[in-house]
Amino acid sequence: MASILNIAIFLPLVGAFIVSLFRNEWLTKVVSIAISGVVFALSVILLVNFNPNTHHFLYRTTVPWISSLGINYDVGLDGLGVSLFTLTALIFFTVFIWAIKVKEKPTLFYALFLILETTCLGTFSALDLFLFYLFWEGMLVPMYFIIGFWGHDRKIYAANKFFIYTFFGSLFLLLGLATMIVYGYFISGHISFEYDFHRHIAYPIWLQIILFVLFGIGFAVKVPMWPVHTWLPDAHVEAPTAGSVVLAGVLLKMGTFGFVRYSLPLFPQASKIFIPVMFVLSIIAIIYAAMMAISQTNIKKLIAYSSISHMGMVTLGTFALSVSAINGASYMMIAHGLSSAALFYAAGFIYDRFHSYEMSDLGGIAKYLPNFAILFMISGLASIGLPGFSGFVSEFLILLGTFKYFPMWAIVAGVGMVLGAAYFLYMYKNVMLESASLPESKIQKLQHTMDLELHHIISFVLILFGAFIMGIMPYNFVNIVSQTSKLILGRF
Amino acid sequence: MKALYPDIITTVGIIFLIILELFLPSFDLIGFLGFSISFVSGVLAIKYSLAGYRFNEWLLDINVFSLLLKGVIYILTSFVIFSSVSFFKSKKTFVENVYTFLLISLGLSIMVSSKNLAVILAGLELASISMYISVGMLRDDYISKEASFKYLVLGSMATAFFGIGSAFYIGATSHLDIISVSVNHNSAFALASLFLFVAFALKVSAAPFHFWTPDAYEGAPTSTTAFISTVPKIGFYAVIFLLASYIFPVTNNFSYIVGIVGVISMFWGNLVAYAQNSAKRMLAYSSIGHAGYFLIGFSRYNPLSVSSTIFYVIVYAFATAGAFLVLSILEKNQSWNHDMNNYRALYRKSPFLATALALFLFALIGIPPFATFIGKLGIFLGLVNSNAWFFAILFVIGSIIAAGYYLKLIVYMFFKEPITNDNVSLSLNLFDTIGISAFLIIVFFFGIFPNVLFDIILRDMFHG
Repeated sequence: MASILNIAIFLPLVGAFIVSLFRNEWLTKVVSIAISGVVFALSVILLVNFNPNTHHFLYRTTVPWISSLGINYDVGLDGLGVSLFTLTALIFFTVFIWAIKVKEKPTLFYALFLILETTCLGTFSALDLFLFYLFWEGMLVPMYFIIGFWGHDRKIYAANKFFIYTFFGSLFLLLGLATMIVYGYFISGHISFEYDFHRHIAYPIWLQIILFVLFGIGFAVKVPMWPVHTWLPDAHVEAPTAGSVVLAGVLLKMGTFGFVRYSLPLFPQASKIFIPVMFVLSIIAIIYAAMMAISQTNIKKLIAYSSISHMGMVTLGTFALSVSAINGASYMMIAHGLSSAALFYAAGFIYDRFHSYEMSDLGGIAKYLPNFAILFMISGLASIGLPGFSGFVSEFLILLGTFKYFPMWAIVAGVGMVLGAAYFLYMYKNVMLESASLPESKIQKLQHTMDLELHHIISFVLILFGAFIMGIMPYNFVNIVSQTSKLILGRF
Repeated sequence: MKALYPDIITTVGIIFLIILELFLPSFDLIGFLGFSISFVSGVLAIKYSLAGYRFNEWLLDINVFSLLLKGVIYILTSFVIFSSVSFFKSKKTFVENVYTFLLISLGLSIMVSSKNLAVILAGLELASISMYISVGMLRDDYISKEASFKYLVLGSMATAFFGIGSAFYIGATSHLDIISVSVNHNSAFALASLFLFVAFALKVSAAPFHFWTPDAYEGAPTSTTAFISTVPKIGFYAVIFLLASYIFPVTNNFSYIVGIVGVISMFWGNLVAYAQNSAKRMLAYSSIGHAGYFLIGFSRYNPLSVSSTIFYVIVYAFATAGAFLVLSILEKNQSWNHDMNNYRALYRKSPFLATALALFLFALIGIPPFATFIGKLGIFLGLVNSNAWFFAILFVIGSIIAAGYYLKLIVYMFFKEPITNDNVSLSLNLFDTIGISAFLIIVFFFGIFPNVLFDIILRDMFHG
């Protein structure tokens, strides 16, 4: 089984080599879809075979790599890891299908996404801090070019802002890693980048605080938490559809994953001290981003702000430090990955057909594109947490877990979720309904617009089916992540 | 005795080339011979380094570490010669260029093989004087001559500082060798440290001693810039490493002077780079910024930070040389003056060159999986190990600032539309492709397997 994991991680990279070697458009698309399909199948095998009764890392491979610095090639998955791994594989699979009609530089487009897939999968499975950082930073360059090449009007600004912000965060993360390694060296006498080695070290409280802050800056930029969130709306609006989907569906999860995998178990005391700070930042993110979303007229920006709001819920749940809240946070990473991907597909579809994200240019679409209207509605309802979809389970678990120790915070966060329903329905009304006041020219245009094509439908259905399954069978999935949560809380 | 072979081969080779050039002034022939001599010396040096040879007689002190540095110096020289011959041909410079490069590398190689100040000075001057000459090689070009003169004046100042520093050093210790001495609170010794440090700060173009750098780098033929901005750095930082091991720690708080010069250099270089419209000048300021990183790395003496800094210097040299060589290939194209606007949509004109330059720039930013990232990580580890938190945080901020201007060039190459649709096709011959690829492979390889280099550095560095 361990070899399946390694194959799944590096197959896309091999694909990128093949693709850039042959530079044939048709071959590129077939190879990319086939490879991402295989990776998705492998990830499902890993998920199905996952033993939820152990808190050890499964499918583990450890190979010595840079021995003089104590660095190994070390990968493995725990419950959270395998869930995010499967999510990543699914989202990339749908992205490759969705983008099949990309016209501009298709080979480069697919090659960059294949590289990106390897780095994302690697980030979620790396158990060596050096390897983790390698994958974590590795996504920077492909994503930069994806935004810069295929983005919209202000793509250069958005790409640079994305790069600088993320680089800023990751250098602090790197400094934190260095500090941790050096401390490990002081007390044990040898340099080691191994995750398990550091998990068993009890850091003194002052060092935990320093490390928590350094790691926290790195993760917070990626989540993104309020006040370092400003790169996200720009990056999302300017990125091409596929880029936005990967950004919202996978890359944002790296930050929250970092908090759960690294910050909580490695620095438990500092995490406790920082609970109020994290709560305040999360609540600000939830309420402020929801308010910002309501005031947007650009639908993609609206969805981007809704992502910030949802990620606020994840950080809130993470730091509520009860099993069900962390379960909920992990669940929400997946749920939001799926629902935001679907929403960005919807926004991308609208842009493909009408060449605008502005609500004032749109309206009355539902009457003429019924299939799209249905799937868009389902995506939105999944996002705002309708029972039956994964979003509901996650919100429920987070609020339940938070309410146990911090009732006031839970109530405030609940209000934020109500706002979520408000902005989505408001957007849906403006974009899809309101057909009465449309001018004749627009109706003409709408009548000649094609509804969803097959590749759109496949992507939508795969994603929404995932959200649906997770919504009606929550127990199986919660079971997988709950060992991770229990293990983390065992440190407190 | 075998440890001397690489230098002997180079010396004999240079004499042979000088004589041969009188009869057969052909770029291809001399270039090929120069490449071969340098490459063979480099491979031999690395081989002897791995085999653990050493030579400790006369005034020399050659150990595994200095053999490694020699190997890197010669191999980098051979790579630069390999990739620059066609450039020199297109610019109609003198054939002498080839063996001035060899002379510079010989001087540097002598410099790293001794702890004796007199021998270091001899090597330093051999390298420096050859460098002044090679900067001024474009004899019809006013800027090149001006650059050469400016370099000569400021370079001689460095020599003067080195001389005064050595004098004070002898006065304080009655030694000419750089060895561990215990002369606490000796002001003559402190002055000696200061002067020696300033001499090398001038040579590696650390702010505020950097004023010659942008002009010299811009004025020199671009291939020469690729050479003088990288190969000599390895030698100079090796001497700074010696100073950091034996001389700086003696005087109290001297490490702060080194660190502060590093910080000033880092911020000055990285901020002023934003104001540049010429890619060549921008890279010159980037090297001032990097001088800052390296001095910060040398400011605290512990195995981790010092060895990582040496590692960083070596891989940085390859990345920078690669970037300048891409520039030199572009310059063969007429009407190319390195203004940023020239780089608009380079991606469409030459995907290979644009991608290669972008990768070198990402390497200079310090992103994994490029080797420079390992250097950065190592310096972080070292600084934290010495509790130099202040410097570590400043280092982080400086690196973030630096990312912006490298991105600026990448943006011009990939995302900006060209002003005119001239559609000049860029000539790219096989040698250029091989040369650039070699640099790329090295920068990648040491990023994935840094231990290959690290192990040799660490093996003898601290007991050589």
